[in-house]
Amino acid sequence: MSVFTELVGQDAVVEQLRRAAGSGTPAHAWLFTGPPGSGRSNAARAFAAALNCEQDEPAARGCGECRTCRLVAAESHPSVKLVSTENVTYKIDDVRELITTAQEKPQGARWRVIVVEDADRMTERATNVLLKAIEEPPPHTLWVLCAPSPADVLVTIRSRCRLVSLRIPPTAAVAQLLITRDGLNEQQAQFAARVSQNHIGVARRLARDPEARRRREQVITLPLRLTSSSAAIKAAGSLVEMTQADAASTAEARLEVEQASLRRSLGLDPEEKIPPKLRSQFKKLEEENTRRAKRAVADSLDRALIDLTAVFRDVLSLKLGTGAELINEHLREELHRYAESLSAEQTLAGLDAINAARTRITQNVPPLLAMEALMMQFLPGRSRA
Amino acid sequence: MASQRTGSSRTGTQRGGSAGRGAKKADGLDFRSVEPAPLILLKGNEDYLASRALDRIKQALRAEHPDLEFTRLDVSAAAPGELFTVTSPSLFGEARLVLAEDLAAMNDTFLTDALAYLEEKPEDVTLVLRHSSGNRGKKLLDVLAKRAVVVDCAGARNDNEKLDFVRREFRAAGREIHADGARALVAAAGSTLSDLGGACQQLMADVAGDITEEHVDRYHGGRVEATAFKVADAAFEGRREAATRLYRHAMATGVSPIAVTAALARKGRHIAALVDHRGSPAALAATLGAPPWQLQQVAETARRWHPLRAAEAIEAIARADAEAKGASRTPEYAVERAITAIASSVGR
Ligand SMILES: [Zn+2]
Repeated sequence: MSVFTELVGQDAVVEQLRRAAGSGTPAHAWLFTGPPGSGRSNAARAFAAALNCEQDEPAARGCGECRTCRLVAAESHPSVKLVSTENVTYKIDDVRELITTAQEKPQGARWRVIVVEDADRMTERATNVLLKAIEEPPPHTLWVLCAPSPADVLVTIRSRCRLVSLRIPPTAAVAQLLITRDGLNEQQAQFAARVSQNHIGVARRLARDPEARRRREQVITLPLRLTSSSAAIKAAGSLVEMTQADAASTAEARLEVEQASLRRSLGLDPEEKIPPKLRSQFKKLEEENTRRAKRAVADSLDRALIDLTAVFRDVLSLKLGTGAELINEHLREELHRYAESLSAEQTLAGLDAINAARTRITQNVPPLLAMEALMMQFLPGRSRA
Repeated sequence: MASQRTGSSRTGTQRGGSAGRGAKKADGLDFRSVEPAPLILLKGNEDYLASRALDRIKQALRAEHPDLEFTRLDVSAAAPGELFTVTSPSLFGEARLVLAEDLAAMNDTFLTDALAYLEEKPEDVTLVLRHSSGNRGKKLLDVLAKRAVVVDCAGARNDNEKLDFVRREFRAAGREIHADGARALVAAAGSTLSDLGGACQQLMADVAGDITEEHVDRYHGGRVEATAFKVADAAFEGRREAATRLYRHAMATGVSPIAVTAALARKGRHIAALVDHRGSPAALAATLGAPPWQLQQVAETARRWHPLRAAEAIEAIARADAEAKGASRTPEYAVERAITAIASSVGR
């Protein structure tokens, strides 16, 4: 199956990337933009595979079958580097390290490809360092930057990149992909595509993981269920605690892998004591890990807040009688009853409160406090001044 | 550092359950009652408790052997036979105390030597082994668990355990501290066990007789946490002028507005959880991860609150916290406004 199969509903982009990959003279700097869920990283990965695919016929490149295509898909091709920062921003040192990599000749491949999955998280200083590298790239190196919109990167960078604009694929296209690629039945696929709001990654997780579905249902029905202040505080507490426990165990597992790999690269045995002069490197790894876990909590709560936004959009569309299909169609009756208990102003205030919570989490308000304030807003009878 | 994924696979998600928050089960002897013995294991991650245990052992030995020879052995860099050298009888027959720390980082040499040492069962040396955490040298740990005097050096994980620590400190010294005094002390000086231990010793030394909340306030009233908590108490009790005055005083003495929003958030959480709660407060305390006495303290105040006013109060705190963290150019004023709003919502 071609590496472009995942890019459903984006035929123009696929055409553009195929042509560039087969041309032999692709541009050296690319900027892939599109909202979360539009598949920026997938597109960048598919492009990197197609550029280096082993098929002779240019039109067939990105076959998805050859060794190169499979290695890129597994994120383990030596000449294709995928980077994403798990911190809030990139540091200059990170960018310098990338630039050093960019100077190396590709190993057993046509192109060295460096994909920066969240170029919007580069500080201005880091961007300026990167700019020099993009202006004079080594002949066999391609940079692929990804960001939500062109406005998220500095204009100096933007003007040097070939632009690729992705969009959120239509629900039907996402559902179709889940059927053909993941073997879901029609009903499962429709459900997952719709409630994820056409985010392929989220849709796939919801379709595969019953626990993820259960959790989503719990979160989105909170506004419908909360009838006491006490319950609101408890709900916020368990939501945050669950998220933190998840993030911590993921981060811990990952730290162990990274510590083992750092030991290997420094030539230390698994049990060997770390010499004092190398301790700072291990310390740094631990600090990174703490920051990463913190960001994972913020990201996961943000997803919960996006799901809650969908609930209030549904309520609004019921109140306005637009007749449109609901994102949470499976809860139509419950949402209908809920809509009747709210005024249009209260519904809009609910949307505002969710937005405020999302903003606050990015402003370093403790997630627990931000979620408590939000849950308390869902209490019935609140006079929304 | 950015995560770079060439050649390494990402690890999957594991689902972690939440740890219980109940009172801890003692794992070994209280450090306050340890006596010298040939083999002693200081078990747990709290350095302060381990050092208190060692001090006690040292003192007891010195009382009998003024010429006690004390050796600290770095087990992460032990040379072959080093353990035997430092534990062998000395020329002049001085008593010996050897501290081996920390078993979590011991090298293989020490592990081998320690196992051999245990075979010989020497009785005329006091060997104290510190084990902070981990399973390194499982075989040795198992033997020690059976043969050594195990001293509990696990730290306090929550306010309940800190409170327990304070009570034991006073009991061991044959002194009394009132319950509200102990609570105030944990709130004022409980950020680490060593702070708390120091505060207990200081109070016992400076105050004759029973120690009350007033004593604690006099000695620790200036502490940041205590100050912020007092602002929160006054605000939620509707004492508007007092709350503002305390807040301004706190600002003037260098307390950060963020410390105040944190205290307000905690108080607001407890009030909002209690305001329309039905059922046992103890169960609620467990759910919130708060010590039961903290909820009992605010139960009275919570009766004067309406759930919707509590919602507004928490909203005001969240907004003030964002403002104090950079969203506003006048963070001090932003927090003061929240305090005023909270204090005016009581009983409405
Ligand atoms: Zn291929």
